[in-house]
Amino acid sequence: MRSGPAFQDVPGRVRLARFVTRREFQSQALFIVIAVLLVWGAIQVAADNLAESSGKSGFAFLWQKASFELGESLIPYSAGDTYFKAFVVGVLNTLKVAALGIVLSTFIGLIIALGQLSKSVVIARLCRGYVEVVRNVPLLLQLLFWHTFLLRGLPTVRQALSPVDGVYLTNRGLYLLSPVAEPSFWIVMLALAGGIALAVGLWFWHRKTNAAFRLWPWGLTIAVLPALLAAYVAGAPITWEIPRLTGFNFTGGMTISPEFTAMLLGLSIYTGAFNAEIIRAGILGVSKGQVEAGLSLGLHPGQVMRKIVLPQALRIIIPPISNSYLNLTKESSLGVAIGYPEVVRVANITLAETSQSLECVSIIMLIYLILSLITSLILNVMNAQTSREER
Amino acid sequence: MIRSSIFAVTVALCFGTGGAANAADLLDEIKDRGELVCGTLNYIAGVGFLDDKGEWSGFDVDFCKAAGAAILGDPKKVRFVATTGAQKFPALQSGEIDILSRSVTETISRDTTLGFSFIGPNHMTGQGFMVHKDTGVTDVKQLDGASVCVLAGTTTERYLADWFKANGMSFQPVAAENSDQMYSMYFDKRCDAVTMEPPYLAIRRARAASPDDHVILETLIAKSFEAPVIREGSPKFFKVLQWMHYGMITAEELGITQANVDEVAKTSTNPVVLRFLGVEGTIGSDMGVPNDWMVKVIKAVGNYGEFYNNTLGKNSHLQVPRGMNALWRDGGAMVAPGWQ
Repeated sequence: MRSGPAFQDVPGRVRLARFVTRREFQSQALFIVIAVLLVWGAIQVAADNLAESSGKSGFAFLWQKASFELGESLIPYSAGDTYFKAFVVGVLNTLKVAALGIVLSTFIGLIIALGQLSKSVVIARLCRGYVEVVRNVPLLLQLLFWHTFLLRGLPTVRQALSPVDGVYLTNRGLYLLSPVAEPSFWIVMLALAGGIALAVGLWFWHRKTNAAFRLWPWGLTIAVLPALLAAYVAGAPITWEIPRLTGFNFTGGMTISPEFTAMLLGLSIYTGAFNAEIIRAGILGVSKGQVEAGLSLGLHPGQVMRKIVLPQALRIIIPPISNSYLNLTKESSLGVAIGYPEVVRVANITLAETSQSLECVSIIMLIYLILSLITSLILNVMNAQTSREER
Repeated sequence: MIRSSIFAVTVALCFGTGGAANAADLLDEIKDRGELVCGTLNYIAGVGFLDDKGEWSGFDVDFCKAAGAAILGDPKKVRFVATTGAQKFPALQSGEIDILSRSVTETISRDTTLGFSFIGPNHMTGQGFMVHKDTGVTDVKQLDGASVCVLAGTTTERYLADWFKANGMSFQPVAAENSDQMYSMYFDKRCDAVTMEPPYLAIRRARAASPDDHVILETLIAKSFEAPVIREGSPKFFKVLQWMHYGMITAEELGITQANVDEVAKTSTNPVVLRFLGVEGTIGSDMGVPNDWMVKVIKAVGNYGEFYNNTLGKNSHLQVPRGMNALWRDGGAMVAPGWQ
């Protein structure tokens, strides 16, 4: 291409020959050939060794019955379902803790970052101390600490702490009321969907006419009001399932296990410290003149932060914070140490049952690769959107 | 740590030639090498334990010491490798270790699909439960709906699920990555019951703050016959280990002990004893080991009774009764074919 327009006049055959003789083409082709040979060789040797040592390989085991229980699951699962389903349960548990961890760690990071920039020396030092302590203690130890803390610190099932009826705090988890939909509940769902559609439609229309659209309170009211009305008309078609102590454990209602809580706390607090530094750097990266200009316009400091500093800081924050989110997702694999049934725990137990170590390890690697690619894809899109405002 | 070792083994599988790829019998390879590599446990005293002086001890460790004595004439020519629950089989399959002596429960699927050969079994027990006394549970069938602590990646995890399913009962599994964590969760009442082989439950109960608050239920939900295991494809190596196990039982039958073995070899006139100890005949050299191999084994760890009692039984701090592991003539299940 660099040869300019004259290049186009040369016949294709000659062009190809010229291209092939170029040195950068040769070195790159050599690199690819070596890489392919290495990978192919490794696969061959592994397949030979496996065939000789056990005779079992391949992924057919995924459709066999798994005879183990996993404890907590977002979808119904019990021993006797397939290994594949067990892996799905593991991935969902990983996603659950990673998604909530990302939200919570961002929130913690924002608060600690603002705290560090606070004019109050006490608050600034406290937040600085938080970052230094949390960042410098290995995450695994923090997870074990939170797990032990929850098991030792909370009462046993029989002495459950019950601040309100239907809520029980024990060292086997937090038991909560859970809503159960009555048959007529679909009317409410329909009304909610209608309300949301109305609000979104209104937003588009406002954008077209360039009028200001305020999500709070008008947008939300429009979205939720039909549902509330429908619920009232249908006679509140929701009942609450109350956890009750029957035999050994509470049954019914919702359970949040100490393993999940320890994971969420550990991951959020640890990643929160890193996020705080990223957000602080982002805020400090916005030039001081912007703040002064905002203040001289008569905005109060909170408004300056919300309307001027944070939107610009986001551009600086998003690339490094996406790394931090990726780390959080990958570090959720440490859950195996405290028995949280995430995907590595499922892989480990499958490995113990089937002894197909290569397959299990490659499944975990593939899953984390996909999760990481999805996370970075979302953040790249967000990054592109915030960058576009730069003119 | 566990994950990194799985990756290490995976890398070994990918890039190493692996011991499995070697066509020669492992027995000859070990003799050439002058060292036996044994995968075992390093954290359960009495079973497999590495102490602060760097000394290995315990039932599973002593089996490998005996194998070292039988093949190389010296129990010290054994290199021990600590293996974890998840990594033990890949370590054996990849050729990283020669013998896996780590309280592995022998099952048909492990024996027939993994390319393994089991020796023995040399330790017979079952899977039981320990419960908190204040739950009032006296029988396994009362555990419906209970939270049960279980060691991740072991046969106990599978048998637990199988047994509850077969009996139409439900339970909440609480998985632990290692046994210290499992018992600590149980003692913190994270679970109502903990499942494991009763000897190990007894060890932990003895160490509890108040041992009387815990009951080990009598019913066993599964057999657990533990056996050392090697890779398939080395018939000579397998026969030496299998007959070494039988030999230790035979020594107990014949009344040959660690203390009197030299004496017996010199003074005995019993042709069976003379053949057994290699004073007469070529049993040993026909198998590819020195004729006096059983003398070396007995000097290293004793006969089966001594081997058991010194590590798990009455001469150890664990005091586990021999039960099924007594000789057949004493009402146990330990048998050995004739030494003709």
